[in-house]
Amino acid sequence: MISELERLKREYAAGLPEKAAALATEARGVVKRLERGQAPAHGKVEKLAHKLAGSSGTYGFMVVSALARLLEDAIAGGEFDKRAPEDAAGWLKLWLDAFEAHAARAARQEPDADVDDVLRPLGTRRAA
Amino acid sequence: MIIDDDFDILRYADSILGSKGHEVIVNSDPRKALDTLASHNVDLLVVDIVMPECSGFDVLRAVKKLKHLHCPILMLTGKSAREDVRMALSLGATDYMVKPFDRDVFLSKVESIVGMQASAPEVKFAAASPNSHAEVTVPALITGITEMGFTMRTLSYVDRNVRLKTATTLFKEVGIECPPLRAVSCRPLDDDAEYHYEVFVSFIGLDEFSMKKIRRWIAGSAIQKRKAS
Repeated sequence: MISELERLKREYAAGLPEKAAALATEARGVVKRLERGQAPAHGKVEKLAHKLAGSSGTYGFMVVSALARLLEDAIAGGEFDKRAPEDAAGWLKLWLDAFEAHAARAARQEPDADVDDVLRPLGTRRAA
Repeated sequence: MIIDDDFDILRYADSILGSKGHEVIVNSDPRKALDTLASHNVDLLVVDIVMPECSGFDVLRAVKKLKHLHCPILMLTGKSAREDVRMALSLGATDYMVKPFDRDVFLSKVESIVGMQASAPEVKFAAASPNSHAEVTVPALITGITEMGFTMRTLSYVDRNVRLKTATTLFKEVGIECPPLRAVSCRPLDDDAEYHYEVFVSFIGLDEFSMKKIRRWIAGSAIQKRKAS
């Protein structure tokens, strides 16, 4: 018999693709706007990333959590406003590749990769 | 009562506390929660900060006005910046945890806070009331550290819930900034001539990154000890 927490974790993993897709869709919208030279309008991305960072890590999906937190911190720290739009879009595409791969892995409940190894190519204090 | 707009967090925290026999009220709408609190008392409030329309800081301000409510408040939030921790404490929060959170650390924090309310200390030499915002500096010997907090030996009694300041190189060695600290328990020592009390001090508002550094430091310290012996 599985524990209540294990049952909750499985349910969370089953719902993770939908949550990850919502964040990825919004992030792609930011990429498009940056590539068109428009304001990134990343408020919704920041909110979704904030929520996912807290919940996914609590359920044990630490890589998804760290990636979501990295995006939230980048937005809150003004990285998208400080960088040239093409640089910001390039970084966000890299982030999207990592995020979607690891969210899919988490949904399959495969063991997490090393957080620092995942974050290092994206350049972060956590990888220091 | 747990107030959080994220149902995944509500379900998880409810399950953890429920499994230990705690009666839990969950509320995803802080305004409705405040309506309930206007006429009810609870043993503990667990409150998120980032919520639409009414933030956890707004909840703290509103709770201050509810004169009948004297419960401790644990902030449970994704906001890990030191200024957010300070703001929450200044508005009356008792303790602060950063999401993602560990099940055991959460349970331990909740039970230490609820237990703190349930039993009054037997002796008081240097003490403050449990809801005060005092910060004291005490000479001490740190004898143990976990990701939850550290154990120290002191000359004088330290009241539970008092916020402490330390001037130790320990955090520099670990590689983190000294977090805000709260005394959780204090027991007299019979067999230590130099110090008279053992105090467990809880970290307030540590994020997972800092906890990881502490775990690494503990592991490294254990390896060094083994090598030395």
